Amino acid sequence: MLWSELLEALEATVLVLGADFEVGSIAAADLLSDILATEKEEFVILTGQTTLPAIRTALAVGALGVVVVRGKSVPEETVTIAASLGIPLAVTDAKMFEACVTAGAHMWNSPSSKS
Amino acid sequence: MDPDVVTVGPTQRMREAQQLMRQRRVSGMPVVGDHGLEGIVTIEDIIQALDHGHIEESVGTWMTRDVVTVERRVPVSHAMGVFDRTGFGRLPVLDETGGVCGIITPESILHALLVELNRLLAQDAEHDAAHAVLDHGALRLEFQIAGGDFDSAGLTSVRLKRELANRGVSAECQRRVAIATYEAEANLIIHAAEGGRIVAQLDRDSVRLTVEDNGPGIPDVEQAMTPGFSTATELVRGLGFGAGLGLPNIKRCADHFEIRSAPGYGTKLNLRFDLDADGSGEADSVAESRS
Repeated sequence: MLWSELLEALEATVLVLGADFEVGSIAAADLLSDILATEKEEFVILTGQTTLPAIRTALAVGALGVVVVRGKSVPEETVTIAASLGIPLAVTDAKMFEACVTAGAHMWNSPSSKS
Repeated sequence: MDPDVVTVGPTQRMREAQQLMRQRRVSGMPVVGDHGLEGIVTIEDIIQALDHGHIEESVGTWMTRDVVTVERRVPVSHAMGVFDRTGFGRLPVLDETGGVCGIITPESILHALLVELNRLLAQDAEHDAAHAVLDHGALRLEFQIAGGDFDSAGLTSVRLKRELANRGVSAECQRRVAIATYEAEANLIIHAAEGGRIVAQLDRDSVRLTVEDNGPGIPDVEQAMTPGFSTATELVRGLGFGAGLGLPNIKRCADHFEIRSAPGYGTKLNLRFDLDADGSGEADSVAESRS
C-alpha cells in the first residue's frame, strides 16, 4: 500500500507533504516508548500524540511518515518541525481502532502490497 | 494574521475603495458596516467597476457578500486548507464576538512559518553540543539535558543522528544510536530533577555514549531492567513516556551496555555501538547496583 493510498483510505488531511512511498508496516501507539521499542522497517506511525517529541521519535526510529488520529489539532510548531526534519505528516478524524482497521484492510487488499 | 486590517464601509464609493487599496497597498478589504462584517471587496471588483462604469457607486452594491472567514483561534493549517479548497487570496479573521480582528493571506502564513522555523533552528543551535575533535580524529559531543523539559525530549537524539548521517554511518546503526539516545534523554528528563549529561564519542568504528545524572538513583537495577517496570507518574505517561521500556530498549540497541546506580548516587550508563556490527548480536552487559 502506498502512503497516498493510506491517506485516502483514512480521509486524512495532509499537513506536511512528501514524496509517495510504499508503506511496509504500521506502528500504532499513543505511548512514544512503545514506538521507540518497535523493530519494524519501512513503517509509518499512527498516534494520538501531537507534540514535538512525537516527531523526533519518528526520526529516531526511521519512520517514513506520521498520521495523527482522532482529528487532533496539531500545533503549528509540530508541523514546522516535521517539515524541517522531512517527516510527512497528516491528520485523520478516525479514532485509533478505526484507523488501524481501515489501514489494515487496505494494506492487505492493496495491489501494491508486498504481503 | 495581520492585525492592522484595512476595512471599508458599505456606503463608501468604489472609487474610495480603489484609492484606499492603492494607498495602503492591499488587494482586498473586508467591508465592515454597523453590524460587523458585511462583505469583501477586492482589486478584481475594482477592475470590474472601472470596466462597467460603476466606480462611483457604493461598495455595498458591488461587494461579495458570501464571505469565507476563519476564527482567530483555529490553527493556521485550517486556514491553509481553506485557501487550498477555495483558491481565495485572503481571509478575514474574526474574534470571539464575530468582529473583524485581522486578515490572513498565504503570504502572511509563509512569513509566519519562516519566522517560526528560524526560531526553532535557533533553539536547535542553542542546544548544539559543546564539541571537540580529539587527537585521533574522533568527535566528542557533550549535551546537557534539563530535568522536566519534556518539550526537548529527542533533541539530542536528532542532533546525534544528523551527525552520524553526515559521517556516512549506516541507517541501521543511526537508528540504534538514535533510539538509545532518545531513551536516555527521556530518562534524564523524567527521573533526574536536575537533569544530566550525555557525552558521545564518535570514532571511526564505534559510538560511545556516557549518560550520567545525580538523580535519585535506582534501588533495584535488575527490576528496572524488566520490560514494563516503571516508576513514572500518570502525567509522564500522558506525555507518551514512562512505559517501563527505556532501559531494556537501550540495552537492545547497544553492543555494550553497562549501568551503575545506587539510591542517592545517581545513575551512569556506558554504552557502545559498533558501527560495523549488524546489530543482531547479543549485547554484553554489566549491571551494578550498590545498596
